[in-house]
Parts: sequence; C-alpha cells; structure tokens
Amino acid sequence: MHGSYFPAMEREDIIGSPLFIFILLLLCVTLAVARWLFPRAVSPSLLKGFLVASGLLTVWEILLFLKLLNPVLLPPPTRVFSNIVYLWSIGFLQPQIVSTLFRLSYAFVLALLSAVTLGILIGYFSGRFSSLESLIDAARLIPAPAWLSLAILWFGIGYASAIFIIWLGCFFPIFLNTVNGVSKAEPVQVETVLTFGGDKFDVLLEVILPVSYHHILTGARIGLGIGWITVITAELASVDIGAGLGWMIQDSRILLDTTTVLSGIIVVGMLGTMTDLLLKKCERFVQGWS
Amino acid sequence: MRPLFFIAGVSAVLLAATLLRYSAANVIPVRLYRALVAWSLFLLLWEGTLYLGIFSSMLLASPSVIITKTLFLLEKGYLQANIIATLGRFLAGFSIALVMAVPAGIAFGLFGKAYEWLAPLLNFIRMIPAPALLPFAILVFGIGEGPAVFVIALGSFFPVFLNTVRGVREAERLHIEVIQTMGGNGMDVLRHVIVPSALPTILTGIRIGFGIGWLVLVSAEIVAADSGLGFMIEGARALLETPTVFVGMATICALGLAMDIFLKKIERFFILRRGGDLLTSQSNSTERNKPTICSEGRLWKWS
Repeated sequence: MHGSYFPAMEREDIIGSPLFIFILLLLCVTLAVARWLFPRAVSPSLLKGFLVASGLLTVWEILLFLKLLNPVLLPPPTRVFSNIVYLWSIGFLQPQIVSTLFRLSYAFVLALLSAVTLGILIGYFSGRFSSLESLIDAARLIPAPAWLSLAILWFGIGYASAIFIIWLGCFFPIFLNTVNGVSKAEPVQVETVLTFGGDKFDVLLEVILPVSYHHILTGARIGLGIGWITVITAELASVDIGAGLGWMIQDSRILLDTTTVLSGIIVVGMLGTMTDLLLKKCERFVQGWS
Repeated sequence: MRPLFFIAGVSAVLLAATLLRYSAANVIPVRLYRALVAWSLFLLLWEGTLYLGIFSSMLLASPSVIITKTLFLLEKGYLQANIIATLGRFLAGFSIALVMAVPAGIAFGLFGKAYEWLAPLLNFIRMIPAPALLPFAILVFGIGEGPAVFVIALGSFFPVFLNTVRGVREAERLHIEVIQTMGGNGMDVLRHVIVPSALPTILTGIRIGFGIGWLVLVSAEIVAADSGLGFMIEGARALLETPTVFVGMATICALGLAMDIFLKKIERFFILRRGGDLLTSQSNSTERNKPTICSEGRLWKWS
C-alpha cells in the first residue's frame, strides 16, 4: 500500500559534510559582511539567529560524522537537507504543503469571519453576554482535538471533519479577543459620535472597529497557532488519508524513515513562521492605518 | 435515567431558582442565576430535540443517556482509570515544563544579551506545532508514556518561558538600584525585586501554557496512547459508542474547567496580595499594567 503513495527511498546525499560546514561558514561570513556594509538591509536578529543556528547545525553534523549518535534516530542535517530537495524535485512535497495550507487557510478564514461577526454582535450587546458566558466557557475548555471523534461521526472521514475542528480551534481565541476589544471602546467616544448625530452603525464604524482591530489581530495570531496544532493533529490521526504534512510525518515514522519525519517537521516550522510573519505584517499595516 | 425525568428535573431546578430569585428572600446572585438559566435552557433544548427524534441518537447522545453512561462507566471503574492516566501524564509533562521554563526564563531575562542571540532560533522552534514532534518522539523514546509527556512539556514550555523572560525584563530599574544602594547583593535583587515583579506575568504564562498543554495532551492521546480520556473517546468513536464519546468530552471539559479556575484563583491571590489591579494586569498592554504591578511602597509588602 505504501509503495503507491511514497516515492522510492533510494536517494543520495547531494552534499557532503565538509562542504556543508564550509557553505554554512561562508554564509555566516557573507551575512556578517553584508550587515557591516548595509546595516539597514540585514537585521541584527537575522544575523544572530543565523549564526546560532549554523553553530548548532555544525555541532549536530560533526557529532554524526564522528558516529557519536545513531543516524537512524537522528539523521545529519545534510541528509535532511538533501531529502527536502529530493522530495521537492520529484513533486511529492508540494501536494502535502498545498493540502495542509488549504485546510488551515479555509478554516482560518471561516473562523475569522464568524468569530469577528459574532464577537462584535455579542460585545456590542454586552448585557446578553453574561448569561451566555458560562456556556461559552465550557465550550472553550474542550480542546479542539477532543471534537475530532465527534466530527468524524458527524461529517465522516474527509476534508469536512478536519476543517470543522480547525475552525473550532481558531474560533475561540479570535472570538474572545474581539469581545474584549469591543468592550474597550470608550463611552466618551461613543457618546461623541451620538451627539454629532451619528447612529449605531456610525458608532460601529468610527469607534468600535478601530478600537478592536488590535485585539482581533492578536486573537488571530493566537488562533493561527492553535490552528496549526489542530491541523497537524487532524492529519496525524488520519482524518483525511493520503494528504498533508502531518500524514507524511506519521507515515514516514511507521516506515522508520526519520529523515522524512525531520524534513516534515522543519517544513511545518518554516510554514508556521511564514504565516505568523504574514499576520505580524498585517498588524503593522493596520497600525499605520487606524 | 428516563428523558422525561430529566426534563422534569431540569425544569424544577429552573423554576425553583426563579422563585428564589424573585421571592422576597432573593438569595441567588445574578451571575449564578443567569448561568443556571442559560444551562437549563440549553439542556432542555438538547434533551427535547432528541426526545422528539429530530436528530439521530447515533450522532448525538442526550444528556439523560450521558448521565446513565457516566454512572455505568464509573461503576465499572473504566472512567476513573482513564482520568488517572490523563491527569498523571499531564501533570508529569506540565511540571517538567515549569521546572525548566521558569529558571531558564529568569536566567535569560537577566542576561538579555544571551537571549537576543537565542531568540530567533527559539522563535522558529516555537512555531513548530508540538504534535508534529509526536512521531519523532515515538521514534526516540519508543511507544509508551515518553512521547506524550515530551510533547506536553514542549507545548507548555514556550508560553511560560517567554512570559517569564518578559516579566523579568520589565522589572523596574529604579527598584533594582534602590536595593543595590542599600547594600543588597544580586540574590537580594532577585528575591525582592525581580521575582515579585515578574510573578504576575509568569502566572499568566503558566495559565496560557496550561491551555496549550491541555490541547496537546488530548491530541497526543488520540494519536498515540493506549489509555486516557482522548484514547477513550477515539476508541468509543470507532465502536460507534456515541454516549461514551460525550462522557469523555464532558470529563475533559470538567477537568479543564477545574484547573482553569484553580490557576485563576492563584493568579488572583498573588496579584491582589501585591496590591495590583486584577483587570489591568490581565490586559495585554505592558505599558498599562506597569504602574499597578510595580506601584512603589506596595513592593515591600511582598517580603
């Protein structure tokens, strides 16, 4: 069964250990020189992060080169790197990335729309919220993965169950932050708009939305983090067989293919960092706007 | 329990609460009454739709069936065993995270230079969802308790660690200098300024870390465990035992609620004891809660 999904496991390291360490050293020097020449272009955190990471990779590589660690349990960085390039070149990695990102972004956008709408409605009529609070609290404290079994019962195995639990994971942080943000609106500002002849809709547009942007974006970043945990859980539990980075990691684990396991983990980490940076950029954009 | 008994019981509770609330005695506080109304209406709606056969009982278990099933599972000892397995695993992972994150956070908060070097790498590791490391942990630690404890510890490590670093770095320069002027050494600064002023932030981090750890715990139990509530839910799902799925979810919810309330109480105790304002210290803005947490004069109350 495996052969039909997985590529052949014959692959060669495209880069040797000494060359790898040499390239890392070269990159570090290049970055340091670039930072010295153009202080604006290279941020200090990038340089520091790169230096520490390459130091760690070098130690890891050397430990395995000297055969101090078991390469079956912890393959050297060169092999992981070669594996990522190999999986990409045969077109196996791309569909996994696309299906994971598709699930996550679909559910995340749904959660953003529903949570912001509901949050503004409930925060706006905050008198009603207190009676619903205990119900919402109880629903919030059931972690999204615990809904997985129920989702499979309701929607069957497939995309729908995965999207349902990812939506649920993203929903509560965004919703609670929106309610919190709406409640931060100053009564004076609300009354100013009303005094100048504005109606409730104007209050919403002029006061409440600008005040709650930051809270919504903070909620969105927390929600995305939980969304990543949930999407990987859904894929590890094989909600949808045969696609996704989580599924790739789990299936390679069964094959004792630690290299692909680590490659998957690193790709997930990079994608997570990128999506987080994207939201951070949004935050800065909104900061200049409101 | 019969559905009609359940409906009658819930209605009776609702009626009694309303009578008590609006009678001369007025013994029930508003919040409790509102929660009671919301819960009993919700339960009545749930039980009623299932009693009328609007939803299939294969897909949704009614509250009365869940109560019957809970009693049955308790009698067999199956539920208790799974609760103990879940709690043991969680406490092991969470306490490992605390023991590592708080001292490391204080150390890196004190030596800001070292933190600046490590921060970019830590930010990358932080963005890897903990369950993604589960297959790798299974390969390294083998099947058993190891992988689950490892990912729980990893999941709850970062919120605690980052909040500790933030709290330590936000300690007032002035207070530190006061201690040093009075002839105190590094240990005194740590005891009298840094730990007290960072404590509320650390406690917030612990509560966030608890939330993430709880999430990762359930996910680890669903994917790779042979005991625990997550395993119970997933096993019951495979057998189409819908009531057991609901029992498991309700238990997870109750345990989470109990721990959340406990942590909130601790947080409240320490913040109020330091004379801080609970509302402002819980907000995200650091500028706003600085004056309240480190209000001068109150600082000495701690020691």
